[in-house]
Amino acid sequence: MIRYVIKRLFQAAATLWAIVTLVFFLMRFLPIEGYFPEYDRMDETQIQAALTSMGLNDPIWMQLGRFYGALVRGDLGESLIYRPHVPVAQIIAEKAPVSIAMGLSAMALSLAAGIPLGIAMARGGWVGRPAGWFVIFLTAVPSAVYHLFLQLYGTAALGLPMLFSADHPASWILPVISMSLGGMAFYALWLKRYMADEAGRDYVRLARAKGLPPGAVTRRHVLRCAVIPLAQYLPTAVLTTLAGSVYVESLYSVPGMGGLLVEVIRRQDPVMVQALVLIYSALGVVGLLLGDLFMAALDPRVRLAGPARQEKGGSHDSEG
Amino acid sequence: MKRRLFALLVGVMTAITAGCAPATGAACLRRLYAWELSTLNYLITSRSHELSFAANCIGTLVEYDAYGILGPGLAESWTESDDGLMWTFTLREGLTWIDSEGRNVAPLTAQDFVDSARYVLDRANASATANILYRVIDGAEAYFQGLTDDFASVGVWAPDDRTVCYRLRAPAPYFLTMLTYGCFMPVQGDFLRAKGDAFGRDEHCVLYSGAYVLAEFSPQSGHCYQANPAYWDRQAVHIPTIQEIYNKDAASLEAEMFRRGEVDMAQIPTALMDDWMAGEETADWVFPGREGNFTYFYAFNFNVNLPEEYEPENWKKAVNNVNFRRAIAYGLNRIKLLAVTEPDEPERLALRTLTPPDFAYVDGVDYTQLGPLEAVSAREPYQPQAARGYAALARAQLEANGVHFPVKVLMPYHPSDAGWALEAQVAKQQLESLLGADFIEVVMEAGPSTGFISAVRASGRYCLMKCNWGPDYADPETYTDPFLPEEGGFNAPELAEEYRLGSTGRYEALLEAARAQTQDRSDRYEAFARAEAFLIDEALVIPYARGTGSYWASRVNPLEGAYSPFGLMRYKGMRLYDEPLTREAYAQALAAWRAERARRLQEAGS
Amino acid sequence: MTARDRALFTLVGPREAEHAAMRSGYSYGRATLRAFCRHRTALAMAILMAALILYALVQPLLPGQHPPSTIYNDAETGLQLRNLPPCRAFPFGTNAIGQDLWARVWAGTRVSLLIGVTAALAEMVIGTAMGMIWGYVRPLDGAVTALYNVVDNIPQSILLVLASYLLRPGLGTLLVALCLTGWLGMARFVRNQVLLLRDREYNVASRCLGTPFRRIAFRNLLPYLVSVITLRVALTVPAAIGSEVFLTYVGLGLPAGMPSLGNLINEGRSLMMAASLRYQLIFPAAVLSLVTLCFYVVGNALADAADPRNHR
Repeated sequence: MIRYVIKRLFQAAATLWAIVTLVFFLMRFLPIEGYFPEYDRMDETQIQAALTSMGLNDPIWMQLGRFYGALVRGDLGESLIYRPHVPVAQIIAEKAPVSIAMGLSAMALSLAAGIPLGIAMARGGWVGRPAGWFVIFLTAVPSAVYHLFLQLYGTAALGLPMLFSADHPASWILPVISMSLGGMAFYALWLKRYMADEAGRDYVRLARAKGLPPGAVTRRHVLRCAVIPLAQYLPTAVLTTLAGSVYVESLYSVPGMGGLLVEVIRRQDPVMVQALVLIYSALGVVGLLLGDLFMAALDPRVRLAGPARQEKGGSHDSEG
Repeated sequence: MKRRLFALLVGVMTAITAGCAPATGAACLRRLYAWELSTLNYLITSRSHELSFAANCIGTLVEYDAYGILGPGLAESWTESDDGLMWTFTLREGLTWIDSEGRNVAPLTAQDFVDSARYVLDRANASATANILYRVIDGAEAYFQGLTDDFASVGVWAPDDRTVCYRLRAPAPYFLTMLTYGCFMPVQGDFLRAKGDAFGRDEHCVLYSGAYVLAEFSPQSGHCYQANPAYWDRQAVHIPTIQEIYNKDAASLEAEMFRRGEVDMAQIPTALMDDWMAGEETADWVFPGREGNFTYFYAFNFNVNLPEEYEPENWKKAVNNVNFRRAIAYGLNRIKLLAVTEPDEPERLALRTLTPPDFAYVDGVDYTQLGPLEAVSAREPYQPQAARGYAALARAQLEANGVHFPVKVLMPYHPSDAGWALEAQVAKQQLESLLGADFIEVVMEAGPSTGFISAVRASGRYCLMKCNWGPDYADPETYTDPFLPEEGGFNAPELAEEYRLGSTGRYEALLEAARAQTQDRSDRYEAFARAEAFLIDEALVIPYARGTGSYWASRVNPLEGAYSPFGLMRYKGMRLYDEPLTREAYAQALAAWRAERARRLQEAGS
Repeated sequence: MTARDRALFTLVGPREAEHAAMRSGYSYGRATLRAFCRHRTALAMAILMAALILYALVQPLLPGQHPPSTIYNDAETGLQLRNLPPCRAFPFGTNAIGQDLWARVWAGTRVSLLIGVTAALAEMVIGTAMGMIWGYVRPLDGAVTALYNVVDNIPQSILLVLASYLLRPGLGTLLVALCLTGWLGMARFVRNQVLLLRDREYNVASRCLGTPFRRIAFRNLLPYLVSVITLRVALTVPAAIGSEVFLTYVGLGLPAGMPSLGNLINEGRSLMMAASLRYQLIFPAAVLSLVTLCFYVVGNALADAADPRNHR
């Protein structure tokens, strides 16, 4: 086990290093307009002088070395266009807590509603069928559309403000519900599929043959085993709440991370793009590592090799 | 486990909740915005939404009043030398800088205007507005270009704490109007030096001397302005708190929020107008906004840089034929195009000149009625019969010249501007059906969504495109900038072959003559009018429309705020009312405002 | 064969009769089809899906249809027939400049289907090929796994957004962006399956006999993977369509003049607050939901049907 952990740690570090380097070179492909807020008004000598003072005219290996050095010190640089001269770390520190808090609330709600929905769907009947249609509805209708309707009618029906405001707790309700819907459908569908697959397994047949009522079989056997793949998936899900939700945050004016990446890409702020891609990728690597370690700890059957990861994503989370 | 998670969530939520609590009720004006400020450094930015911040938070030497008349600001008086080159301003007593928390930091002195100019003219700061400063101030260009290190050679100095002097390179009758622009605003020198690069980074990295203080600046969340208690004219500031709330979709959301009473002013998109007019109370709330001075025009490109598939050589021959250009200029149905975004009263926005009416006057006569522009203003620009005639003429001449038809006309649009994309489709269909698809083929192409201007307009990747320009100061010269080769002209009309006079074009010669007129305002304006009429008559540029002019619903009366022909929204002077402004009340107020403005202009002119 | 071989061995032709007698009557394909047809909803959805696709394809050829980008003007006033509510001439009404929304929705469906199907095909071809090589050629496994870990850990949305940003927005860019990342999941899936199958006896035997890799891949491995590949392809189509909607929403999608479901929904979104114009959002959203639903249900039913445990 310890050897496995060490091996995985090394692997994760190597992956991170490769990502960092890849991102560094990708960013060198960006047009140099990105380095100047007022590019249109500058002439060639001004541009060259500024490039030199930023060290962008140095040999590429020197820049790469500096880049590693800064990262090791935890320095993500300063924004160039999005908010000139503000440290990237400060921008993220302002925004991330909101996204995380909202994302975790939404995730808790997704799980709390998604698991019963999934069980109901697997059982079928007069509860399961409407539950199934609800989940299918969430999967089929584009989220860009149902979020809008939820905002317009939800706020009117409940008498809530249309926009999020940090000091108005009721204004959290609808964004959190909106944000949880995609995950809810995902967990419900996943659990239903899982339970259908497990229903034919020998241990379930045995449990039924022992005379356990169906509810107890589900609770004591099927659900308990379902925790294992979930345990592998959840660390990534928890960590990526940091990225926020593009649709919901922009709809309700939540000052989170949601639209940040798209915004800085559109505004061509290379330092911000670089930092965000690094952070999101690092979260992915760490999430995968934690997931694998959890699973290894929980499930003795796991063969500890290769990327045998739980399938992630349904059609709902195209926004990542 | 679950309980602990919940406790954690509650903890994080309460941590976030601590923030600037907005005052609600009549004391606080709430509105949405969609464009976030990326910097508060008013000395380097040229973006109007960033300068709006400065217009409300930083004082200027002179100020516009609600009728657009310049009056004293931070300066209580000023004198102009007889030759029009020396301007001396005397500051008020007791002016101060305060910080975002309202603490008194330093007195505001004349030196602050010198420090500001020195910062703007420092190349290393890459100020986007430096050119405005160095085109008018003596010695500034040489300093900016690095020809001298001696700032004393620049025509800005402070003989004592309350006197600011400017020496101009040539008389500029509009000099006073420039002083309300960002690059002429003062800055506290010690503070600026202490902050270095961080100046303007957030609300704490700026000092305030205007009507408001930016008490809280949370990007992508909101701005909270508080009235400046130390402002010299604080009696004129009536709204104590302004809460601006960020939303990316503000344009589609704010009308509904206004209806629900969650914001106090909102633009009403044309798509919503029918619904609002059908509503019992909302019908009364909608009023048309004052037209802005942004000008839109379709520019023929004389310096194309096109891929082969768009037949650049063919276009170059065609565009140098005046009849070809006139066919399109007379054939473009502006009203139909404008109906896309302004279906109810498209005529309201249509322009026949590049400079909009009501921008500049001389002896009570509007600039657009001077000299040959009078005829241009009187002429109906859409003449389908004439357009067909010009097309036939052009065809005969150009076919002899080896041009093959249909001529491909590359017309790009911005991919994330839905209104523009729709308008481009209308333009294509309208022009092709009028002039014949065998005469021109309009090719619509979406440009890149980022760096659109540099990839399309600046690199010449278009044949005919809608461009726009906003004035920077109150003189007709400000509208000539897009056509000047030295300022990186939009469409290079100086290259039009028909009007070459040796090494320069006829337009340049006309401009040269106009700029030389620095003594008499009437002569100067008429000379600029001649240059503008030349562009329009020879169909080098097609005037199109003015910007904004949408409908509003509001609990403040915009007529009460400072007005200037090229101005930014200033909250000073506005009052917040309990009830939305009704359409009738606004119409009455507007009529009264127009009469009063005309009267005051007359007064000021004489 | 050398002459000596010919002397020692005689060629024996296939003995069809014996084979036929040995067959159990079980055919994987037929059993899958049977299992699928038992699922009534899925069957209905499959028919609906076929009808939708067929209609989207032939719609421009049908009589009485309008072209999607022609602007219609009022015969009397000469102004555009803007924002006409649904009526006989325009079943879905017209948009803000008088274009037929019905024609635009179907044109958009065609564009979106093109995007979805192209992305799915690319995923199938590239993903399967890469997955086979990755799983089968042992020396490559470590290197490809490392590469995979790197690329997979950069979230797909980032790659999508980056690609659409670096290139000019357009159909080609969108397709490149989707194809660039889509095959990864499929490759991993195929690789894991191949790892399971690689060392089965019959494959070892084939290798010993010197069968080339290509033949092993096509004859021995691929048939086992057909069902899972079909499932993934069926689910990729709606996912790719969803990505188009997302990219359009963030402003990096197709040019606004081109009718696609993402563009139509985006145009409709801005009219959401006007009750009388909401139909311009609802119609494209409904068609998009229907397409997604069909692919989703059919894909899942196919996966159930393809599982031999469900073959009765």
